[in-house]
Amino acid sequence: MEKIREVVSRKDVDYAEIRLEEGIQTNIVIRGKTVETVKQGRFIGGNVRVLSDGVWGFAYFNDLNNLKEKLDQAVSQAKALKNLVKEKSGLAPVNPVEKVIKASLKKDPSTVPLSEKVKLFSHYSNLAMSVSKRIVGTNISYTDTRKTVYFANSQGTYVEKDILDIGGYIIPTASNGKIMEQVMVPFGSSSDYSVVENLDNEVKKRALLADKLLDAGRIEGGEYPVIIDQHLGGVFIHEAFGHLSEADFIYENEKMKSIMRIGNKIGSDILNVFDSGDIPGIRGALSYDDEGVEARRVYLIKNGVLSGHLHSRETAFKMGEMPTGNGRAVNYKFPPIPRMRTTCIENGNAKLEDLIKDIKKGVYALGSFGGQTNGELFTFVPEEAYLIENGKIERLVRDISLSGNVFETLKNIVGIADDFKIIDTGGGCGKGAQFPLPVSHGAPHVYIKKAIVGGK
Amino acid sequence: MKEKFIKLVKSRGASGELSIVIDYHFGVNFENNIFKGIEEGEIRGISVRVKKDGKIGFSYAEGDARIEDVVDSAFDVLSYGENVDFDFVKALPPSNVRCFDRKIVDESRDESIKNGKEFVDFVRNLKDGIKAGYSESKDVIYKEIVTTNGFSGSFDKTVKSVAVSAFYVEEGNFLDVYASQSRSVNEMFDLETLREKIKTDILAANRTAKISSGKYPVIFTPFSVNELFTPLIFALNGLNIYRGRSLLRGKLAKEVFSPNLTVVDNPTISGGAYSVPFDGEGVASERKELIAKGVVSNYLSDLYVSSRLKIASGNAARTISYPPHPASSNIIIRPGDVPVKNMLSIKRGLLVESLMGVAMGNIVGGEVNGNVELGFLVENGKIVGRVKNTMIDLNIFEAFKDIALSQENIWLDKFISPYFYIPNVSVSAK
Repeated sequence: MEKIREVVSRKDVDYAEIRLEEGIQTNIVIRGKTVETVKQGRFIGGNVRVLSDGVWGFAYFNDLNNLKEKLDQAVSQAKALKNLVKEKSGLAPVNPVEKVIKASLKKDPSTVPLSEKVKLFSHYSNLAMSVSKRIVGTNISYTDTRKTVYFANSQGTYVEKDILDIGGYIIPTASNGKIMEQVMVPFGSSSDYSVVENLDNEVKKRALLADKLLDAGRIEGGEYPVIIDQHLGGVFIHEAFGHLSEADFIYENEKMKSIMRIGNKIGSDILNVFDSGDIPGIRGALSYDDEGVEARRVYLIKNGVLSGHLHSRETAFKMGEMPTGNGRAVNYKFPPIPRMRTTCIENGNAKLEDLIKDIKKGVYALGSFGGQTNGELFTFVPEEAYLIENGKIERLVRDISLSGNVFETLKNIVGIADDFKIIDTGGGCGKGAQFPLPVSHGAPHVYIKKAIVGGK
Repeated sequence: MKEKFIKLVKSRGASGELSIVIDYHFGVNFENNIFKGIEEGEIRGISVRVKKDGKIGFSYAEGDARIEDVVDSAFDVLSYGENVDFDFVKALPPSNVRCFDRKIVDESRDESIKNGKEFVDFVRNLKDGIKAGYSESKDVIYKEIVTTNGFSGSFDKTVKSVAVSAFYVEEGNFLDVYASQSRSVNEMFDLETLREKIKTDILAANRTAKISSGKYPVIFTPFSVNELFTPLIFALNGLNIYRGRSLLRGKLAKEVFSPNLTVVDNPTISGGAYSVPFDGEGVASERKELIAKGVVSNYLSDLYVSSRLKIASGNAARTISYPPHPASSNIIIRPGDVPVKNMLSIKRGLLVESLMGVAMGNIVGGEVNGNVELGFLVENGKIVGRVKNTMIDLNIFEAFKDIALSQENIWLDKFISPYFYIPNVSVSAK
């Protein structure tokens, strides 16, 4: 890759970078008794990004010939816009690095024959469907992607990353002819195929739950105290606060800067939140981001006080802060923007049983199909939920969703348990057109004094 | 490459289908009232399916690749699939569909930037401190399908998309209003509708209102139909029908919904963003009535589903990396006979512009369960103000039995839709 270092080292612009990637992907989709898709594919592509007189030029391609010509085009594109762009961009300084990073693998999926993978997931599908006659189907997806990303910039940085990403889910669907319910067994890793092995007990347990949900009642909609489990807690902090901390949501809006100022009291005293790439083996593990910046751990909230933002080099420059290594791009078709890696609520010191005992009438919500936020409001949909009455878990309820105001809810966290867990899931994070980016999240059980529960 | 592909596949005693895609993309982007720049890119890719002894194998390559390697990879996975009883298309005439416009190709970069600037100025004048977003993208796409059974077809297609937004923060209240429109023919753009939507919502949201939990009539504007229809489009997908993951299985020719509901999938409409002369498997595009006056009349289908369910095909979508599968194209919901003005003359209820979280809910079960991201309290025919911290919950298999539709309709991206009136929706609020 000496060639890209040579091509990118030009002096006629403020900054230039080239990012190339090549990889292979395997995907298996099984629905019920049918192996619907088994596919393998290859991808190769790249992009050039230049900053000239404070103006960006960006172009992507998958013909890797004539990189110099492509860089020239991006430069002339940026120069042509010089008088049209009023607010000039810049990049926060970082020390140049030279790194070649190999994936640290425990069990490499490429050592497992495709036939074994298909057999394993077919087995899970059959197992789920054998649990009850009311399990009418399954939806199973497994994907492994292995790629190498080559990055070089005009400031002397060269980073070569070998990346593995495994992600997917096993979803049993139950129906009694009138209603349908589904739950999920998610999995994910950046190092170890064995996360998809030995899931029999989990698959049976979740399939039974899907069956039970058909007989579950609904809950009356309204405001309730809610305890969320580790999975849902992780999704909550990712959706409700992680996206808000991404500095491109803040850096050009004075009112947002004021709301998200470091030092503002943003949550209850017991709340500590961080985003990091330093937990190995999970999907959000990252040593250097897509701008060649070391991915350092950032505390977003410490003892309820806002203490950091998630930056690309551009947002760090504009806000006068340090880059954090959150400049990420989902693939070569996009420039890097501030994105999360592994976002977590830290352990508290409460016991789950004590949190439940404290609630007269409320909801215990577990698992998640995902969530959505618009900055202020959030919504997420648990897979499993129980009505709590007089300090006891009373009955399973179906089809609920949780919602609230981010800022009020962070202050309404009145209990955090001591049972922190990271649950890696398939899919990924979406922002604009950039989806799915591998991320992870984790939390202990969290007690929220009040949240809106959607129901009948 | 095509001749080589046919030779390679036939020499192994198989039949095959080659899909070639070239997509040139250009985009202009404004964020937070600021022109951010332009982006350009070009993607080339191929995907192949091979069929031998009743089984299908699929492989793809994005970027430079040898056709021999891609074909080998497809044969490698051939043995895993189920036995299928369809074959790749033979020589068939495609439909005559208008989906390419030279004006979109020729429109200058400066013109797109000018459009963005005008929109930003328009939004800035609505309110102090407001931040506008504008993105305009153009894709010039070449698609070709060749089969060993004699089909060889290609077409050029343009897609122009405009997404607009306005974001405002005041004392902890966030207001995020957005809308988008896509067409394949420039003259069919109606940017005034997007501007009007942003303006109306910004002004209406100046006032706030509260609604208590209970059952209310709810009016869904065409801007929220994408979310409202998520479970219905899922349930009408023939693959979900065949796999037992749809509550519309076995409901063909049965009246399941209100007689007011007629839904058509139409990939042949002139200028539609999803219009194509033939689908992802080379089957000529045709209009398909999915629900006719409340009766389920057809399902979305590709060749595989068509052979299993004995229904017409023509709805296959594919990307470079994803094999053909049934998907909707342009969806047209037939308007009703109620003027929007009359629809709004309710005693107390909600007008919903956008929902959050629906896609994560129980879609297979028909649930539309989500946060009212942007919605208004309506009282005695008047829009009182924006409601927040409010959730709605309905099940389409119940709720769509009793609906009224407006005379007026709006064409956005995929949907051409009227306003929906649903009389009895669960609302949960703080």
